Amino acid sequence: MEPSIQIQHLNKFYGKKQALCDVNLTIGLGMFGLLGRNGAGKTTLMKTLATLLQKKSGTVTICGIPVENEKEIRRIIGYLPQEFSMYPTMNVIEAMDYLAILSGLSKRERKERTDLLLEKVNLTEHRYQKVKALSGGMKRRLGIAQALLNDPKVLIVDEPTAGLDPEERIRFRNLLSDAAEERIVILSTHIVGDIEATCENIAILDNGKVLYQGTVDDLLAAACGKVFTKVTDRAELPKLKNELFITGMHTQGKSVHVRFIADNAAPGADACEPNIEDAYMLYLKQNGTKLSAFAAEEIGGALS
Amino acid sequence: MMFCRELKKIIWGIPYLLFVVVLTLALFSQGVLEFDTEGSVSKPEPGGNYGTKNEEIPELIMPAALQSLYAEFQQNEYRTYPIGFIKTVKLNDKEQAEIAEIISRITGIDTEKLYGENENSYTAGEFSIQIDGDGSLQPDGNGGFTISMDDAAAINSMQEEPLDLTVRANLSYSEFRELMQRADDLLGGGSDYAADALIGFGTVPVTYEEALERYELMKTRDHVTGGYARLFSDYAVAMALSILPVFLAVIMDMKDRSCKMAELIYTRKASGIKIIFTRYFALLTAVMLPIILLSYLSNAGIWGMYQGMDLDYFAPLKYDLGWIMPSAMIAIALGMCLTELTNTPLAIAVQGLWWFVDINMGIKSVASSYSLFRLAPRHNAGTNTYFRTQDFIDNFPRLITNRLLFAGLSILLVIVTIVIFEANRKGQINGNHKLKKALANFRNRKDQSPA
Amino acid sequence: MPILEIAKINLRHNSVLSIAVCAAILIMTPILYGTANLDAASSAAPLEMFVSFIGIVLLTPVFGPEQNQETSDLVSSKYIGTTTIYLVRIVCAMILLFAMTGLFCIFMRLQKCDVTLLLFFGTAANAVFLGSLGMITAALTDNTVIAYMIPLVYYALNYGMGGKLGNYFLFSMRVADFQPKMWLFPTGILLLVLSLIVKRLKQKLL
Repeated sequence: MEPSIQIQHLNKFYGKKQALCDVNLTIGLGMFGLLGRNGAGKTTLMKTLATLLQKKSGTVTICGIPVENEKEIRRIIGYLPQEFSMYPTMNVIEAMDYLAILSGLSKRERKERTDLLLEKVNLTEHRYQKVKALSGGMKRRLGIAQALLNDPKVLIVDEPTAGLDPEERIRFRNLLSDAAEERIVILSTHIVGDIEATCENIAILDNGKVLYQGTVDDLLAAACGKVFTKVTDRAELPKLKNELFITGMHTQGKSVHVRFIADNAAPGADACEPNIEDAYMLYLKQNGTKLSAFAAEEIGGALS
Repeated sequence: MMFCRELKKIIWGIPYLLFVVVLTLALFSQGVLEFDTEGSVSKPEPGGNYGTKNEEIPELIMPAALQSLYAEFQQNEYRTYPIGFIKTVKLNDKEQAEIAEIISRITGIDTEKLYGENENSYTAGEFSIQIDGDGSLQPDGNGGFTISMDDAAAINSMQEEPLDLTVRANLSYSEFRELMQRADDLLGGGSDYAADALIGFGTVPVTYEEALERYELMKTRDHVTGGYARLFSDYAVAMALSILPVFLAVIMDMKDRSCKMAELIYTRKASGIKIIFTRYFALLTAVMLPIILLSYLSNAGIWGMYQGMDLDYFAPLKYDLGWIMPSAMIAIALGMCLTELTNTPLAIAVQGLWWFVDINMGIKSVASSYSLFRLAPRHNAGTNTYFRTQDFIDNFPRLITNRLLFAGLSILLVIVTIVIFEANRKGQINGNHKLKKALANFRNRKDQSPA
Repeated sequence: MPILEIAKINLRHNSVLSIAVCAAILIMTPILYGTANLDAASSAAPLEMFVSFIGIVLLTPVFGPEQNQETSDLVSSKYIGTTTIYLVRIVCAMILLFAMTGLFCIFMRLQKCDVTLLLFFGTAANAVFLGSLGMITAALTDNTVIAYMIPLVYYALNYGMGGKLGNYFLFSMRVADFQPKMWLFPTGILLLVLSLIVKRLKQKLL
């Protein structure tokens, strides 16, 4: 049976605040991207899948196993939290070995898997280095290696590329793509570039609700004809920011190339091909999410 | 600005709330908020009882100490206070023989005689029951009889001539002191026979003139409130301020780390000197605020009882800053320094142990106990002794030296903290204790060797 | 389940400092108080007032290594979850606690003190109670330092209040009263179990 995750009518509350609101999702083999702003509920959803949080209501099954069956679920999932952190005195190989023990591997399996995975993520030569002394990128790679220890059917990765430099980010995306060939990989991100590079299927989460689920192509198609560019003087920028829904800009000398979303072209603007970033912003806008020009700029910044 | 932010961060939090609650409870349990219930101090009237005091009068001390030692020797049960609480010491035969030797040298009585008496009285008390008909032998309800020790001793004294236990006429006081110190050494220290504790045997009543003088001193030098403020400081520094601040310091430091603030702080531009000193003084302010408040709550309670007198309303503040603050300073500085160094709550163990030992040593001499390294200076003298102002004045220079030493040591520790902080910032130590690092290296070597 | 492996790794990475502090306490005790030729009541003093401390040092940090949320999430997502690891650590701490107390009692006996089995168990009861007080505080506040503070404050309270603490008075064996130990030990175990439950509930619901 091909692995799949079924989520139906999932609700989760933190006190009175609803963190997940009637979430319905079907996730199949390959890479699946969860897109949303900070606080949209991505981490909550992923932690629920990783059996770290208890849901309020709804059903979640992973490869046919209900998520309440923690022990069985934990056998088939691998989870990488936003930041990889281990006991401060542990070095790389010790951390891998300990986590392998906790994954229920036998002594022989432990050695095999640890060696194989460290090789795969290029950490073999750093294996006696303290985990906390590793660079951000190396930590993230170690994180992936440990999540794959039990050869999981489902790999859950929370915000994998935040804070990485471009080179490390590309390296990391490739690692994930490799892993996704034979399993489900769910990654959450607020960095649209990650999705663009790796995922075919995505869901957009906002305020605990699923705004969109489908392919990247469909999302892009929906934004066709609604994205424009305009060249303007820098002095006019503040005024434009108030009038238009800007998703990106770049400065050239005194003039600025502004990219914005609108239903109709403004005077002096040219229609252009939408990218995921535009489509995502459009989706949030259409669904009544309050996005100030400032917020748009902020996300735009993260996106670029 | 930075100071206010730091102070706010400390004050708005559960740890600080807990600190204030525990502090208040600790002081309340010592009764510092109810000084008024003891009644006011009034001018002594002739013919009253003014309590007792200890004086180094050899004629008084030598026989009393000798009697006490001999009695304990007979029982082979010696009371000592090695660190505050009682410890009953039993000596082995060899050590007992040495005590006998000491008594013999003091009295000139043959050691064998000392033993003989001992054994006889033991037999008398334990085995030979003689009923003299005056009811000293009581049925105990279980079909047996109880004899009280006094009766047994009385029985014994009728049987034998008691030993004439007097100090040899040609024994000097300094020789006596030396012998007694040897007894103390045999007992492992902390007994009443230690050279500096012998004065406890020289108990004499306080005369009317002395009482009057004490009263006048309390009025003129302490302005009444000073005495009460001193008593408050005595309790505050012993029960709370030389231990509790370390918790707050460690919590705030570790909180920074667990919130990942540490890394943020490290990359900030502000100098280590500024960051650490600001945090230090913010912590100190946070710790001192409730203490100042409590000291005034305690002191103001007695103002009404001394109407018309020349009171010093600044006395609590003076004692807060001069007496209590240096103890708080050292606790905070140690907390910050060790946390910065090891990134563990090790400081609590260190300060906790220090406090524990210091307090227990302090219990032995709770009046004007200001030895150089005393963490919590004691002066536990209340209304019944007119606050012993003269003792305080006599030992004042020692107190000042002690407090200055602690304040200076604290600043030194803060400077060390800055050095560690800067080293951490540059990644030299990487939040790791040298010892831990050495251990880790050792482990790594072990791991690598088979590879 | 490779319990022994988990225990070994945890001892090495998370308990070295605790064990060192315990050793320091045990070594300091004879120096501070003297532990030769003591009768039963006097023997109770170093045991109740010093050796009891190792309970705080050993048990309080049981939840410490996973105080960091990321570490906790990572470990919890594995097949053998945190509860098992906590249990392993608790058992290790208990074994160490009883072993160290026992060794110290034997040491005192060799020094001709009247140390009885009752004194041994009484001391262990104190240690377990103080340690579990630290554990429940750690579970409730997630703050290791406050977790150390509460049992230490309770200890200090025993100085100030003495027998007024009734069945929870820590220093009762000095007056040959063993009744409180019958309360301290079970309460300690109860708090210990409770702290595990609190920890689990908090993780799932928050």
